[in-house]
Amino acid sequence: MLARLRAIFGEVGDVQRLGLVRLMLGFFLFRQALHDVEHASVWGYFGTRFHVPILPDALVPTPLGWATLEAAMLTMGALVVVGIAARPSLFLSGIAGIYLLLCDRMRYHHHIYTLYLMALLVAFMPCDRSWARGRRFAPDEERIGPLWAMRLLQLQLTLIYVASGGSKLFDAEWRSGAVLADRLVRYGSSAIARGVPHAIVDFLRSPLGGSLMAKGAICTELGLAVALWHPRTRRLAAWAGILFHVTIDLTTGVDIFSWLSILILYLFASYATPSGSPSAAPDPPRTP
Amino acid sequence: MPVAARSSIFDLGPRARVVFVALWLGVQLALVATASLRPEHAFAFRMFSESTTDVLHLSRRTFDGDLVSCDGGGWWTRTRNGARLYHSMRDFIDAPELSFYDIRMPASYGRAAELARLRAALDYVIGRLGDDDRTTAQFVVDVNLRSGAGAQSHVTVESRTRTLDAR
Repeated sequence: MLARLRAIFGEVGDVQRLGLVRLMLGFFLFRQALHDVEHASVWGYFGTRFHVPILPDALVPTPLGWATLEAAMLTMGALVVVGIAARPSLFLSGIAGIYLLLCDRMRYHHHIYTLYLMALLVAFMPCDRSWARGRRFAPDEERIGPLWAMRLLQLQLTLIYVASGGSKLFDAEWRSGAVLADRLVRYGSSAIARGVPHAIVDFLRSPLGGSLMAKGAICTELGLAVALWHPRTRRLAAWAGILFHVTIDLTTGVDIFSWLSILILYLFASYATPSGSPSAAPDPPRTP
Repeated sequence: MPVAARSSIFDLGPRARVVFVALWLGVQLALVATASLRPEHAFAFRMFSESTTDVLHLSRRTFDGDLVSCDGGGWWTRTRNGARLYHSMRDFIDAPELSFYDIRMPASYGRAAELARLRAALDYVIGRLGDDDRTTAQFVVDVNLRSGAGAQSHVTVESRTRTLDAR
């Protein structure tokens, strides 16, 4: 058991794809910081309006402190995209983002929390060797790196599926389909605007459609949590998960949560299930 | 196995990795397990947990002891100088689910979150009236909730009571 754990924590592999994930994440970090600034320019700084801090109010930043922090987060988002000081920028963006969530729980949304958790974990991956500093491919001598933090990120998505699917499973109203059908009543028009056929949206709004959709969502989330870690089903589960999130994104408003999940599912699709035995000698690096 | 090493403080050693992973998973599992302790179930990934909607109706208790109904979440009052002034909850609160009254709105993050946030919002507004409102002592909000399955319920939420001296 100890040897198996040691093998998992010592796993190494090709880090080429991690750079692409970092680049996309940097874009989302930049976008979120920009959104915060835009919101404040319309409504004013949250600290001087109604807010519900989890931290003591004395720790909520002053307007100048907040503006400085957001400027730093915008800069760090850009640095993550281009791959300069990317790992420290990811880490600090994650810390700063979670700090701001703790300053005002009114700003809490699952997708924002997930974004900052992901930034923290990606900081511990060798994600700055490819798609960085104008270079697409990692140099041959840097192509192989540790994957433990990537496995932890995959485990984080699994935990999200279990928490989400489990809470729905134990909620009778949710299992009945009432929650989803009602949500479709409210957001169905945006799904139609995005090209989902009217007849499908009408069916999903019905009690039968809602019930089927609810049971399907619970089975999908809990099923993905298992199938993503099985060697035989991993790749299929990753693609099914991507389809699942695209469907959610088309039919309901969840901002960037679907895209963050798809980034992690891309890693599931790309990297073989950890064997629990020491990493085999990797293939020779492919020079472009 | 050779791994190209460009030193970074984020390249943890084997023992530090184990500690980091154990801490990370411990915190995440604790946050998921204690979700019910937080009204909006924050940090616990309960996606689309409810589809509750509600209609808020505002009343205000004056210093005379009268309970006065306020249409649309707004009210006329008198300032310290005696001028008549119109206030609206939307002047103080930007969250639509807490500032739009007498119209059905989604209860963001569910029933418990809506009621907890509403209570905090009413306390916030009553604490900021100051000399611009010398007649309102307390807000009272009737909340008519409807769950996604259609079950209806009614809750009354009151702000703290304000005194003119202490505000």
